[in-house]
Amino acid sequence: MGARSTVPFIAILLLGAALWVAETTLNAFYLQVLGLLGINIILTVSLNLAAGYGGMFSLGHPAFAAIGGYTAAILAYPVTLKASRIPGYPEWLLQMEVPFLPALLLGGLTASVVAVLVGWPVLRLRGHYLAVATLGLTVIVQVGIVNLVDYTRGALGLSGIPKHTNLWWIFGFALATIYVVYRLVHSRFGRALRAVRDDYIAAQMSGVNVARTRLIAFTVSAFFAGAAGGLLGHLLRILTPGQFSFNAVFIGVAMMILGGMGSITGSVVGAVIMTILPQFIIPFERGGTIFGAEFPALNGLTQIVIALILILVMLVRPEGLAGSREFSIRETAARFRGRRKEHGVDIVAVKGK
Amino acid sequence: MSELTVFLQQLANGLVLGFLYGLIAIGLSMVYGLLRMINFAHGDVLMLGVFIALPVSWAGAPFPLVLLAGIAAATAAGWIVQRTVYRPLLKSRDVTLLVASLGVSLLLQNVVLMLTSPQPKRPAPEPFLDQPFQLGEVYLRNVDLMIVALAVVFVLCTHLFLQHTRPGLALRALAQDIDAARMMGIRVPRMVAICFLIGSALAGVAGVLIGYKYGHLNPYSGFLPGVKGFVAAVIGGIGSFPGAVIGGLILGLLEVFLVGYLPDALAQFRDAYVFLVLILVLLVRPSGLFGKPELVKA
Repeated sequence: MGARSTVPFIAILLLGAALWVAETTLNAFYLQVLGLLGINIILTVSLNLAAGYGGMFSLGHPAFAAIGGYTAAILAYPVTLKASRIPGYPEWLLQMEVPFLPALLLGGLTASVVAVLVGWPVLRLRGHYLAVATLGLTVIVQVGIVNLVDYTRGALGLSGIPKHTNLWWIFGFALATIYVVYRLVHSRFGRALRAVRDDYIAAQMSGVNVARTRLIAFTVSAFFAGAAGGLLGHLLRILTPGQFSFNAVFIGVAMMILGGMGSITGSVVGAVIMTILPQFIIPFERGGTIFGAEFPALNGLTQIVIALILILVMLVRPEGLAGSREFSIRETAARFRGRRKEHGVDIVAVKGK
Repeated sequence: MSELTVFLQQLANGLVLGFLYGLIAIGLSMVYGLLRMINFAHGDVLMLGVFIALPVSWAGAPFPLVLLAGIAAATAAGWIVQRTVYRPLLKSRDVTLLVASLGVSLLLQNVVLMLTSPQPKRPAPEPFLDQPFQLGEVYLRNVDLMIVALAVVFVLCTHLFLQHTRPGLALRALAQDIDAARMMGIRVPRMVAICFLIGSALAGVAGVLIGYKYGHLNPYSGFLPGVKGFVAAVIGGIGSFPGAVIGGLILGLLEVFLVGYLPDALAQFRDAYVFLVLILVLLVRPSGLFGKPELVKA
């Protein structure tokens, strides 16, 4: 086993050990935050595949998460509750209770199918029209969930979803997402995708099938967003249209932008920061006494902080924290060595003077 | 009610809504024409304008004063946003501006949320505006007439400004070819500022009128009208001034007629139709009714 495969192997072992410790020692609240963290990683990496690598600035990923989430939840919903809570479906579906994994995958697949249907017309749009059209998808799905009460329980939210998700599921999926996106991006297909993003005419001239390349990336991206939605539903045990609103659009973009469009490492970092940071702000939102000081309830403080981060990143470092670089042990080590060398060179230069 | 009366009533409702969309669309269309930027914060500037006008109305001020307060607040907000956030980004990639506008949108919504509350609000009742108005068999309220009258006046003023003043000429030149205009000595940042001032002022007008027509205002109620305004601008042809107004009217009529004539089960999906229309327009005629096809597709 060479160094190339040893390092990821050790990393996965360490992650496994950390997850085991977390699952056995942490209380439900921390487990939920960690779960959301993993789901956010999946969402951000998948969004990055479309927007960062593919140049398809999608504001429709919450819609894909919603479609995947509701599909998985409806498939895996307990048969005893189905007929009374969501009576709109045909009899055979009401009698069916699908195991968790196939339900998740089917949720992702449904999101993919919608992505193909929507992407076929919409991906022909260039630049920012795509953003508005996909934002439209978010609105359409939102309106659909609220109004199709017999199928989704509407604004009430679909509660009573069995708690199938745990950290193993979530981080397993997160690893799978990272692996697939990484391999996809660092392949012939990925080079074609980035070529289309940077100059689609040049890419077309070089024999890249622009429409197909974009559609494939969009569809794969939607699959993982859908799976993340499925994991979310079975983690929180409830799905509401509010979870997939404009707010979800903003936060998804913020996670991706903060980390860097076109960097998987960046997406992970962005998701971690944007999941952990709000946990420290929420106490201030509720108001009351914090560290002995009185605070009034500050509604929307989390969103204000996220918005300010978004604006500041755009003003100061529009490429995000990681830019389009990836974390690599070898390069990090090399950079440390490089710094020392530079230092040495400086001293020599001063002496020479 | 006869078929014809229903039709005329819907027509009137659609036109009123359309004028509101038109007022919102102008700012979005002008900004896109200049910067190739979808200003997602436009609707939130509108909302901010109303929320500053609301206390003025509660204090017992008459309608014209409330309107002025709304316009002033929206204009100031629009100017501050473009000065602090958009201007430093004028030379950066398109997507940077887009994301920045998303950030501003989120910021404005939640600052207003923090300073007020999520409970919906309405301006103090204005008996004159609430009076019913009958036109043949069609029933409206005075506020609807006010919307049409004010929209026409403000659109005409903007039109005259664009056609007959030097800054207006400069704005049109910029929209045509920003690089050539820059080389002719037009100061781009200043013109961008003027563009935002006009757009935000018109949004302020629309905001106050929406407040009086519908009531029920919360910090999020600007975002969707803003996005719909963009859809209207696309229908009319982005970057085109008459296009924005006519696109607004078309969108308003479409929305009202779809909701009015579709069966109830389908009529609930009101907001969804707007975006289906957008996707359709972009596929069939991406340059809209009056727009020029974009030569360089980026």
